[in-house]
Amino acid sequence: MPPSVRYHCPCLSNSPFPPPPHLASSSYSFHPLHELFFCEECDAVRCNRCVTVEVSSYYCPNCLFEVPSASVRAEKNRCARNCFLCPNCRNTLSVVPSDPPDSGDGRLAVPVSSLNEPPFFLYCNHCRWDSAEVGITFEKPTGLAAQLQKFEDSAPDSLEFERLKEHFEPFIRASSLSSSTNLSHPAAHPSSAAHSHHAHSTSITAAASAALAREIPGVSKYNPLSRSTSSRSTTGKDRSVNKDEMTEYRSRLEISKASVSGSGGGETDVEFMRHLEDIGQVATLEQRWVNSWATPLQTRELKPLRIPLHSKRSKRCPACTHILIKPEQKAQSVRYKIKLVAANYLPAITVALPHAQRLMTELAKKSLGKSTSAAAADDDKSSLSDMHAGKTYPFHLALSNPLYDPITVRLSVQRMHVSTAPSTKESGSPEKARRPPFAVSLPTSSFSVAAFAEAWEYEDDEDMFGADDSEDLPGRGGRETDAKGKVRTVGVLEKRANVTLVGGEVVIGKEARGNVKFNMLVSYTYRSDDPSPEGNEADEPSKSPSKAGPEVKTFAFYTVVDLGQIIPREEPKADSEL
Amino acid sequence: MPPIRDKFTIHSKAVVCQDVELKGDITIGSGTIVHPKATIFAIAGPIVIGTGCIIEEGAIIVNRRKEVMRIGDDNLFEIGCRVESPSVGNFNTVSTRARVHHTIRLSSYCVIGAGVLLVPTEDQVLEDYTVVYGPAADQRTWSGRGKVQEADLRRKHAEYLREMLPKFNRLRRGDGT
Amino acid sequence: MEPPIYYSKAEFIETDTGNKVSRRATIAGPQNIILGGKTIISTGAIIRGDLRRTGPGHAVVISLGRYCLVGEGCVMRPPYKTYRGNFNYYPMKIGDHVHIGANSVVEAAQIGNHVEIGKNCVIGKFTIIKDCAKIADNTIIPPNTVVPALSLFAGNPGRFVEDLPESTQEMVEAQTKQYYTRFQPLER
Repeated sequence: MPPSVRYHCPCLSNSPFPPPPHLASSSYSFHPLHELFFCEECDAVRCNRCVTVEVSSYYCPNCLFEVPSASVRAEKNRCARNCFLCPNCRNTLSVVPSDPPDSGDGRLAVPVSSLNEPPFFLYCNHCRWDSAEVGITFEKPTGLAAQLQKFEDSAPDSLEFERLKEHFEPFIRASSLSSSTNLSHPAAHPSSAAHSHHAHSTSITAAASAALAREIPGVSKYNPLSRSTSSRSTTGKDRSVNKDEMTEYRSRLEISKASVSGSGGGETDVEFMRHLEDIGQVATLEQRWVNSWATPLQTRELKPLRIPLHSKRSKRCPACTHILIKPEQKAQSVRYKIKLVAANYLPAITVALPHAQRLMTELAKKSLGKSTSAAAADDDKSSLSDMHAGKTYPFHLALSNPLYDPITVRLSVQRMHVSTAPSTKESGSPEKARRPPFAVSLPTSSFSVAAFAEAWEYEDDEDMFGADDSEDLPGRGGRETDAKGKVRTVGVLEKRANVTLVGGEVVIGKEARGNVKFNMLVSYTYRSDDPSPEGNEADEPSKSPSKAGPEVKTFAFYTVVDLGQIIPREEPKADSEL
Repeated sequence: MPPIRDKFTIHSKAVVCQDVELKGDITIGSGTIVHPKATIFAIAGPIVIGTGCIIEEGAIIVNRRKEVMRIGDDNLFEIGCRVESPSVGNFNTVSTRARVHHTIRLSSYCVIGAGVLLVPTEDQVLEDYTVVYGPAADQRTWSGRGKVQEADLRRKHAEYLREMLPKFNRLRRGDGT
Repeated sequence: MEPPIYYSKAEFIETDTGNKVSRRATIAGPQNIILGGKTIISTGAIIRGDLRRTGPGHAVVISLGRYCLVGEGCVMRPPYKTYRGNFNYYPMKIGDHVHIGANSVVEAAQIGNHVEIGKNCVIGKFTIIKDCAKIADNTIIPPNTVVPALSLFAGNPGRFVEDLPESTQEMVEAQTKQYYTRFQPLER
């Protein structure tokens, strides 16, 4: 793992401090910069864990057809055209014509003319499963889903589901009406009131919770035959309480007879398993539960599945509900109508270990000419960034400013015992109770990072960088050695365009182990020379404490810096016994 | 072990590109195509390749055994595959970057999927229409539906290559012919 | 920031538009191949511009955009099929900022812009990869697959894993430009 910097998203937490980095759970609070959003209204970082998400459009991931949201439900969230998944390996199926009839002379009759003979069937070009194996063929190669519809609609499970839907429909409609005129609802349903106290519950969830709360007739004495009589007596009372005018639901098939009619279960399955010769005859759990409507036990009964739709999503700030992400409608467009990403607001920070980089460069030069070295070099690279216990290492932080104004940055390390109670630590593992086994020094004074200017982008950038790189690398090395000792390791090392390079140093304790990982507070001030129309004075008095100067704003955020692994000293065994 | 003696018998109607590595006793049948950067190594016994096969770039065919390695007709060896099977029937497909060990013998109409690694420790014969696919090298039997169209595609493909490859690539000729 | 990636100056040919092509790559039918500029073709790559569509006149077989990388040992080859009984190879079109990892085999029909393909992948015939998609290392994409925009595919057969972040385009663009910058000659 190369050294990394991740950014903290508070996710509406009350504590201003991020969790200590040595806890494994802290990883959920830190994200790479490019995955974060920024809400201008709240002046805060947002992440995928805290934003609210809504679907802006649906499309089929295979034919890329944009499905109008009105028809999504009727099509059961799946592509209603020609797209199917292989039930065996989940590859996409293609529709192919049949072979011409065999000439029967043993030798393959290879026709010269075009081949387009019905019946057509679905074919997997990965595992060579085909739908004719399960008796599904088509007269034309288009509109397959519609042609399959009759199979699908006549399947016992979907008939049963339709029947259930029909049965509950009046009830759902009634309860959606009553919940919209909500007043009498809680009084009339004392039992369901407890379940529907969530303000956001929709008519469907209200209906479901009411149904859950209801007494279930016949549960106490489970007997399908006597159920109708016994339940009638209990529902007499229920009706008055629930205003539930529903009749008893009767399934299309007696469950005890289902196995006979071919929908599996019961004796037939036992019989099948008893005569099993090859484990491949049994459908795997994934094939049954992930790739299938019905969940057939036998591999040979698996049916092709219409491809589930994908969606494009808008994202909103959880606090002020302003839109942070709004994609363009077109399914395959990668543009956004609104895109407020943190990378456009917060300075990007990259971290590097000069000792590892030097080694890497040497390695790159050495391995040149050995074409097979690519793989080996990769392995070496990971170990290059390791640091040994009891030593001191410099590290570099490069901050690049995305704003059109220069910023002034101050860095500080969060001391680790600030946020966590030391008592709990002590009672926990004794190893972690110790202070962090390393000490980090960062430049204490603030420094500036120049403004981002479009012009640098337009310049022939690789020429610029190329020149910089060649001067830069030896130059940096020279500086360190010339200055007798490490005078310049901590502090600002270099400024170039909108990037400022600062040096830090880490002193690793003799008994240290684990990763050098610390939380770093980055606060920066910038001149906001275009006061927002809403007026930031009124909006965020707390967020801009340094508003002595009229147009200067401050923003602060936490990051976690991971410099890599510490290689412990030689006697690790004795240590761990303690 | 005596040094390997090269002996290439290439049919006059076969197309073997110049940029191909051949080693040992190799016979290549009529209409068979060997793309540039393919490798055929007859390390121990000879290799005999039938008619109408296509051997794509980066494919490696090796015979480590003493016996003759016989490859039938109309087989397709796709990009970067490696085959050491001592016998291969007809109309098989060894897909891109698949690897087949010398313990496997292919009958006919078998398909070894892309990236499959097939290295059983004991000798095994893949029956006709066996399909091997996926990361675990799962096996199933192909129904054979579509094989006429596939054969048609393969024949026309070979025909195209016989015409097109010589226009852009220098060819290799056998010793005798 | 990142250290340079060195190549031996003698090995690569640099064109006027900044393409860098290894002399140890196999380029068949170069007259049928278009490189957009600042594209790198690495050692041991094979590019099959000779498998052209039949018919008279000039035919572009493989076109690559700007800032692309064809990794070491990659094979780029146009897809083929019979259509109405006639056999043909069909052109392969690749957009800008497309990186293809080492030892991958690509027989796609179309690859959009800002696409990352990992190492040791097999991209099957007539695959269509849309903008800003990513294929993880060691993925096998079967023929005729469509990879939608901004999605990550992985596995064997390759399947959808997750949606990629909204800023993928900027990330990939910066990365591919930086790679080209880091790719520097070393005299020896």
